[in-house]
Formats: sequence, C-alpha cells, structure tokens
Amino acid sequence: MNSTMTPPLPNPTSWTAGRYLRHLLRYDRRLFIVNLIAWTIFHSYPILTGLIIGSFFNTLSGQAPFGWNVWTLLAVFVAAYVGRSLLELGAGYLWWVYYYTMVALLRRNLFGWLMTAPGTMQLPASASEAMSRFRDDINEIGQLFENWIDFGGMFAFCVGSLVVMSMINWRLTLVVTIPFAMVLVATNVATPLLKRLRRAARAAGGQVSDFIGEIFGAVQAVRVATAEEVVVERFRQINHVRRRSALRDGLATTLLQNVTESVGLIGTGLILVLGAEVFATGSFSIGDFAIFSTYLASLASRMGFVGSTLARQKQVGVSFERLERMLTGADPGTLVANNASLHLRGALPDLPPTTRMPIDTLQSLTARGLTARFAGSERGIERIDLEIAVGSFTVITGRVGSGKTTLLRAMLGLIPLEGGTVYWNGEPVADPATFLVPPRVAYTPQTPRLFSESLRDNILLGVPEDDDALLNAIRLAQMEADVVEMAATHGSRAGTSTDYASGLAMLVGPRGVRLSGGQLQRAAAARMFVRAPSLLVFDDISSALDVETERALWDGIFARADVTCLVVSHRRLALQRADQILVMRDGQIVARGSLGDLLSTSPEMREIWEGGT
Amino acid sequence: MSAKTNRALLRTYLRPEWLRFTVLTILLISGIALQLVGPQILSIFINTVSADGAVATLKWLGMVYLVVAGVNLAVGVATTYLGQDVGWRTTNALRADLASHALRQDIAFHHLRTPGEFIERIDGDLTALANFFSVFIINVLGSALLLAGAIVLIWLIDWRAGLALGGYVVLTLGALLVLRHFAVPAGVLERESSATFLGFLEERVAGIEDIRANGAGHYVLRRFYEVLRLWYHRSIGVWMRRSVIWSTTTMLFALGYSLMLGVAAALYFDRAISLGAAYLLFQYTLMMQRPLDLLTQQFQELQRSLASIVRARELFAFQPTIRDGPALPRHVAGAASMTFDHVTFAYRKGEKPVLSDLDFSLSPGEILGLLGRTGSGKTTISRLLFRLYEVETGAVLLDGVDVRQLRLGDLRRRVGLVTQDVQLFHATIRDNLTFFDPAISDDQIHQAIATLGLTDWFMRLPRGLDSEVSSGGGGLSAGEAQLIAFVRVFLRDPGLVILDEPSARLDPATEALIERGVAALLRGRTAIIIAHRLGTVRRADTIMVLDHGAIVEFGPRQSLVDDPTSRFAELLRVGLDEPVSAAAPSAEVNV
Repeated sequence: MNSTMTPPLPNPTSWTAGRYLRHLLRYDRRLFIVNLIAWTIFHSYPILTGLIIGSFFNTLSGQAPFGWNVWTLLAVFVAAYVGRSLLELGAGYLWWVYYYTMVALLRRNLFGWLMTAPGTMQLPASASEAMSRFRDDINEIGQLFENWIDFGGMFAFCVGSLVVMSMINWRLTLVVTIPFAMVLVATNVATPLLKRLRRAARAAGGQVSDFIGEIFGAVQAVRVATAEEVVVERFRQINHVRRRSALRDGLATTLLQNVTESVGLIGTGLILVLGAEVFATGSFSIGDFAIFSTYLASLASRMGFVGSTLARQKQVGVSFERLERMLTGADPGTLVANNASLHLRGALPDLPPTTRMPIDTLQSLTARGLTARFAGSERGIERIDLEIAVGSFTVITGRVGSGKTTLLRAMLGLIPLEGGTVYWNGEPVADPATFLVPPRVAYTPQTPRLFSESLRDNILLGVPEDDDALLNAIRLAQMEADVVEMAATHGSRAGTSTDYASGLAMLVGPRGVRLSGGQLQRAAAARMFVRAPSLLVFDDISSALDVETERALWDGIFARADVTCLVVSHRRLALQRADQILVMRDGQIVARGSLGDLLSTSPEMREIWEGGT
Repeated sequence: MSAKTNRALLRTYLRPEWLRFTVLTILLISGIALQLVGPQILSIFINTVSADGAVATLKWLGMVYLVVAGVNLAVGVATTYLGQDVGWRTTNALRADLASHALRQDIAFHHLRTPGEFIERIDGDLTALANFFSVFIINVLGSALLLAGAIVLIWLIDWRAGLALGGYVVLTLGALLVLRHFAVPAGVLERESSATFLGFLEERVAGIEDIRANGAGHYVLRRFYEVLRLWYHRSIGVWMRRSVIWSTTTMLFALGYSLMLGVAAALYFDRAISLGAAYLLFQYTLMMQRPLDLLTQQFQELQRSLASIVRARELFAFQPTIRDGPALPRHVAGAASMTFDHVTFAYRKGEKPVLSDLDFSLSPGEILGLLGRTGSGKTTISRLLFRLYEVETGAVLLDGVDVRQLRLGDLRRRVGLVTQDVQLFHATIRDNLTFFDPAISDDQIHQAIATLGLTDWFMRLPRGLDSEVSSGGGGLSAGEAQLIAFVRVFLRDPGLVILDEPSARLDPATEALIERGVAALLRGRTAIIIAHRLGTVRRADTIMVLDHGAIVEFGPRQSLVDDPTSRFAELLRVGLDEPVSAAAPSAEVNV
C-alpha cells in the first residue's frame, strides 16, 4: 500500500534451477533411465531409415551397395517402421507415468509444505495467482524433463548421423555443421531476453486468472451492483495487456525456432553450392545426397529442439523462483524432497496421533513486546504486553483499525512477528504458528472459510469421529437447530430431531456458500469446540449472532470449568462478562482492567461502550 | 449469446478479425509456394548432374535454393506472429463473453461452482483454443494447401504418380478423421479431472489459515492424496489413448513412403520419369510427412481445442432462469415504494419455505427495521428484492411493478445493498469504490466520501484513490471494508437501500463515526435495515419482527414502543439487545 512496505522474508538460501533439477532426477532414477533408453532408440531411428533411402536411390541409379534390389529394401523399410510404431507405444506409457509422477511430486511437496510446515505461512500472492503457479509453473518443469529425455535420444542421433555423413564426405559434413554452430551461439545470446519476456508474460497471465478468481468469488456483489458490464470491461483490459505481453514472448520464441529449423535448408543449399564439383565428378552420388538431406532435415528439427530445450531450461528458472517464493521459510530443497511416498496407490497415510500432554493445558499465556505489521501497510501493533490467566475471559476491544485482529493474528503466528515473545505456561514459544493450535489453542477468524465437503467433514477436519463430541460441539456452537433444520430439508428422514447425521452430511458448497453468514461462523465455532482446546480465541464471533444466541454461547462455554477465552468484541454482552478488557487504539493497548474501572477511567472505553453518543 | 455448433462459435469470433485473417492467408500461401519451389530446384539440380551440366549452373541453382530458404524463414515468422495475434484477439473476445455470460447466471448456479473452476473454464481451457488459432489453423490450413500443391505438381509430371500420392493422402486423412472422434472424449475427461484437482487446491490454499490454525494440515494433505490419485490415473489413461493414435499414424506414414518409393522405382525403371523426378517424388512424399505429422501432433491440440470449444458451449448453454422482464427500460428517481404480496419462498422445490405468506409494503421514504433470529428469513427478503431468486407464490413489487416485469438492470439500479461481508478486489481504492465503473468521476467519489463523513479515513490513505487494496482486502480492516460498501451504494444513488446488519463489523465508536453518513445515505430513500440488535433500528419508522419466515409483528415503531404487550416492547424491556448492567452508566437504547 505504500513505499515503506516491508519486503517478504527471504528464504534461507535460494537454489539454482540446476540444483533443483538434479534433486528431482534422483526421485525415480530407474524410470528416468528406462525412458532415456527407450526414447534414444526411438529418436535414432532416422539413421537407419536414412541409410535405407540412400541405398534405395543408389540402387535406382545403378550402384547397389548391399546387392539388394529396391523391393527388398522397401520390405526392410516397412519392417523398420513396424518396430518404431510399437516402440512409440511402450515408450509413451513409460513417459506419462514418469511425467505425472514428477508433477505430482512437486505439487505434493508444495501443498504439503503450505499445509503442514512450521512457522508463519504467508502466500506471496492471492490464491488464484498461487493456482497459476501450481498449474503452469509445475507443468513447465515437467515438460523440461520431456525435453531432456528427448534430448538424450536426439544427441545419439546427432552423433550417429554426423559419423555416417563424415564417412561419405567429411569436408561437406564440416561445412554443413557451421550454420548449426552459429544457431547454437545465437540461442545462448538470446536467452536472457527470452527469460525476461517469458516472466512478463507469466505475470500478465497471473493477473488474468487472479481477476477471474476475484470476480467469481464476489459474484453476488457484482450482480447486485449491476457491475457486470464494467467488470467485464476491466477484464477486457487485463486480457489486452496479457495479449501484448504474450505476443512479444511468442515472437522471440518463434524467431529462434524458425531460424534453427531452416538451418537444414541452409545446409542443403551449402552442399549444392560448395559440393557442385564433387557432384559433377560423380564422387558424391544421388543416394549420398539423399542421406545428407534426410539427415540435415532431421538434424534441423532436432536443432530447433536444442534451442527450445535451452530456452525452456532457462525459463524454468523463473518457474522455480516463483515456486520457491511460495515456500515461506522453507529450505529450498523442500520443493524437490523425495523422502515421502506420493500414495498414488494403496493405503493413504495415517494421520499423526493427537495425544494430549499435561503441558497442553493452559496455566497462563503471556505476551511481551509483540510488534507486527499487516503486510503492505504501516498499520500494526507496537510492543504489546498481555497476560491471560487460566479460566479467565479476556476481551480485546477498540475502534476499527485499532489493531485488534492484528494482535490476535500476530500472537497466533498467522502474520510474522517483528518483535516480542509469547510465553505458554511461562515457557517461551518458539513457533506460535504450530504450537498455538489444538489441543492447546483454537481460533475462529472473523470470516471463517469452509470447503466443498460435508458439514461434518468441515467441522471435524480430521479429528477422529466421535459422535458425542461432535454433538456437544454443535450444541455449544448453538448450531443444533440449524443441523436439525438441515436434516429436515436435505435429509431423507425429515423431522426426526435426533437424527443429525443427514443434516451433517449436507454439502456446504464452495467456500461454504450454502450456509448463512451466522451459520458459517457457528460452524467454525463448532470446528473449534470439537478440538476441545485449552484456550479459545474468537475474532468477533458475535457479529453474525443475535444476542440470545450469543448469550447462550457464552453460557455454554463457561458451564465448563476448564476453559479460557480470548475474544475480540465490542458487544456489551462480552464486555460485561470480561475478567479483563484490553482497550486498543492505534496499535497500542491504551487501557486495561475490568469494565467498571475502565468506564470510570478510560474515555476511549466510555466512547466504545456508549457508542459515541 | 448461444452457439449451435462449434463452427458457428468459431465463425462468430473470427469474423471481426477478417483483415488480419486475410493477411495471414496471403502469408500462408506465399510460404507454401516457397516450400514447394525448394524440391523443384533440387530436381533440376539432379537432372543437371545426370546430364553432366556445367558446375557454374549447379552453383547458381544452389544460390537460388539458399535465397528461397531465407525468404521462407521470414515469411514463416510473420505467419506465426500474426496467427498468435489472431488467436489472442479471438479468445480474448470469447473470454470476455464467457465471463460476462457466467456472471449473469443465477446465483444458484454460482453456489455450485468454485472460482477456481471459472479460472479453468474461462482462462485455462481457452489457452488451448488460442493454440487452435495460432498453431492449428496455420499448420493444418497450411498443410492442406501444401498437400494439394504437391499432388498437383506431381500429377503434372506423371498422372500415375500424382494419383498414387493423392490416394495415399486422402486415405491417411480419412483414417485421421476417424481417429479424431475416438479421442475427443478423452480430452474432455482430462480437462474435467484437472479442473476438479485445481479447484480442490484453490479452495484449500485460499483457506490455508483456517486449516493451519485448526491443526488440520495433515488431514487436508490426506484428502489431497485422494484427489491427486484420481487425477493421476485418469490423466495417464487419457494420454495412452492418444499414444495409440500416434503410433497408428506412424504406421500409416511408413506405408505411404513404401508406396511412393515403389511407385517412383517402377516409373523410373519404365523410363516414364527422370531420376530428378523420382527424387522430387521422394522429396514431396517427405514433405507430406510434416503436414500429416502436424495434423496428428496438432491433433492433441485440436482435441484440447475441441474439448474447450465444447466446454465453452456448455457454459454458453446455461441460461439464467431469471431474466429481464418485458417492461420497457425505465428511469425512476427518488425514493421507491416496495411491496411483498403474499410471498412464499423455498430455496429448493419441496423444501420447507424460508418465507411463508409474507405480506407487507413500504411507502416511499419509509424506513423499516427488520428483526429476527439468524435464519428467520431476513437475508432472503433482500435476495428476493434483487430477484437473485424467483418467488414461488405471491409477488414482489417495486415502485408498484412486479419485479419479474422489470429489466434486471433497472431493478438492481433502484436497490442498493450493504452486506456484512464486503467483497474487495485487488485493485485501487477508486476501483473498489466505483466497482470499476470509469463513468464515476473522482469528484463524485470525493463528494460521496465527504457526505458520508469519511474524510478522516480517506486522508489516512497513502495514495488517496490510487492506493492499492491487496487481494482479499488485506490491509483494510473489516470496518473499513464496510465504509467502502457505504460509498459504493451511495455512488449508485438507489431509491431503496438495504442495510444487512450494517453495524455487524463496526465497533460502536466507528459506527458513531458513520452515523451521519448512514443518515445521508438514507435521506430521501426508502430503506430496510436488517439487524439483530435494536440499537441499529433506532432510525426506523416501522418495525417488523420475523420468525421462521413469518411476520410476528409489524407496525409503526412508536406505537409498538408504546404498546406494552407488543413483542418489540418486550424485547426492549428484557433487553434482548445489549442488556444494561446495574454497574454500568445508563446507556439505554435510544428508541
């Protein structure tokens, strides 16, 4: 939002694309080698067919090198192609297995890190932008492997064909290699430009998918604002920018490709000009020329391939960079780590057992000097100290933008801390993001997110099924009536109020859209309760609850003796119940204490309480 | 718009590009002519060698060959560039139309789909279609011309050779066409499984904080493995089907070469053609490989393109059930009147109604306070007013006209909505306030900000209207997002405003800050204030208490306050809203 924006935390070290690729190669080396062999034989085929064709023309013009007639040669030719065809099928299978395994590995490693890694996780871009990395950048890397495997075969062909040609006429062979060498040099010179253009095109592509994600995430808002047309107009502009960027990228790539491809024709032309004498003397036959021109054409198409492989090799660096930036705080090797199975068949992995240790029970939670800033803004919290005793109810209150949510998020490790420490039962917490989670702490954000699964799966999210616990959580979250109603409207055994199963089996739709705002928050609260944490953290849960429901919620929570609550709220119901109120303003705690004291000592508190009258 | 066939859809989007397309065609034909000339030079060269021609002639032929190769290169680059340009232009137009079409679908349609799915359908799928224009048209159209040209030229030398070449090409193409239909469903399958997979990823990545804060990472990873597995096996299956097609094609080529080499040998032994012509026949047969090979290699592209056209048409085939009414466009200003005439409504047929026999009206300028528990049907009322859903029985009337009669644009311009969740975009504050409408001037925005009393907030923005809002509204608090929603509605100047729990995200201090603004927003307008709390309905003239979709109480606020037996008065008495404790200073609900 402004120029003093804090840059994203750099990863420990950055790896080169080469290092990534070397590690990736180790994953299924045997399959890679089998692929390499199969495709080498496949790509070397033109050496054989070229020789047959050369012999054919020599036989035609009266010199029969093998003593075979043209019909025998043609039979050999057909047999060779039958073999090639079968090889193509088998090698194809090997390749797709390898490709999808590598792509699956990268996606798993990236996704697994995002979901399970320690530390604060911050996406460098929106979810839709992240998708373009999951999709395009990882595909790009997979395709480089395809280039490599083909490259091996093509290299074998190049060496073989050069040997055959040299045996026929080494001088002409030397001459025709010159344009090929020049193209290789040109490719290397052009590479940085290609890389820059590709990066720009990718970024423009990310903008497009980003925008689609945003407008379809907000489709109701677009509709009621009758903004369909202007939104589509903006979409056109973004597409226009992408078109120009993609065209520049495409032009550079095409230029390089076409130059390398036409190098075969240039080579043939050079043979005609420089080889006119040997042709005339008859030491270079029509069959020899057929072999040369066949090989040159094949070489040229493979040359273009060298170019595109080199270009892709360079461009893949961009993809690795973009993926690396998604791995907040990770050792870059994480992206290509290969120590865990991909579970492509057989049993799925077991979930790590959750055992509750004595240390997991809250005695006290203390924070000292917490300082954090919301990414991209100057706003944040500055040196916050707070203490929460077991069994207490603490309310953080303050005006809009005073830093209440930032404080919660910083404490829980959801945004990076610039300074300060959180202490759990007196011990400093090294990584709040992974320590302050169930069974110790659970958190309900202001706008919780649910997923396209059943309500039950959304609430449990992996907690071992226990119907009593689930039912208790739903009751505590004041969601019982909703579930019964869902059972009545969606379930088969409508009306039987004890049957929650069908209500819980209801699919909530993408991001939980089939639930109302209040239901969404109560589902998130149930998700929290079912984990039976020692400390409950609510960010403004009451905003989507009516007062009766909210009161029942607090009553239910405090009916249990062992519970501690930290809540962002400005509702009187919560403030009155609080053992401790922290009043925030401009990222600082300006007053703390009980409601009665604060109302007499803190004008800010009075204003909040009275609603500014 | 709707397209009946793939071809009709292509025609629609190619027509505006006719000029570029013409230039593209000319370039394409020139390139093909140059390609056909090359082997002719070789043929003359060989015949000159056979006839013991002069070395100088041979060298000269070689130079001509080189020049042709050079020009061919330049033409090729220009063709590809232009093809890509046409590809992007046409698909961008299609992208915009698809986005526009999808945006206009019923809300129920959107509730079944993730944003990730739209990214795939509107962008991912069409990238394959862009290839169709840039690569496929050039290669396939070019290939067809090249094939035809080669056959004609060979025919001129010897009709039997021409016939053989032509027969081979026709048979091979016929076989390819048969193969194509076999492969299209595979393409659709692959796109679908990849869309599902990416949709799963998108949703989970967007909800990463909820997952991590609940310690559910390992569980979600386990679900990932299930989805990954499905996608993996499906994808490999699809590609294997394609491999069968490729290897069949390879066999077809082999037969073609053998046939043509056999014909060349037979004709040469018959002394019907020269050695140069035999070589030319071989060269042209080789040249057949590339176009035919391209046909098959581009085949996967074509499959993808066809699959994406099919999917685009699928999307176009969806029609909103809620459409413009037959009324003429109208422009009504000032406060609106509104009536719910015995409305009964359920989200799905056969379900328990969310609203039953709702019957009430508001006269222009009237402010209704709508109270009720969560799920009592308050939000549904606003959805019906916007005609996001269709009323089953009864009618909703705006300005005395059934909303089903009105044009949707006219209806929705008359009604403004502030929801509890404000959708923000990764764009400037200006775009977020105007909802991307360039017709709204900065002056209007500044004025709205001032009228709503938000100048202080606005002054704190680092770059004023040009300040960027990061994606998902990061950098702005929920309260600020609410303020933006107020400006949005104010700028649209509706006759009826629905405030759906406007104070839900605001602390009382901030709420007070914009009290004046709300007053300005409601001035001269009819309003429905949906709230759980009594405090927020202070300014209401009329109160409606809703329970399980039925009106429990409806009447002027003051008379309800005065009537001690009313539900509203009871609510006030027992302090449903923010009960006042004895210890706290008086803060009675100001009704």
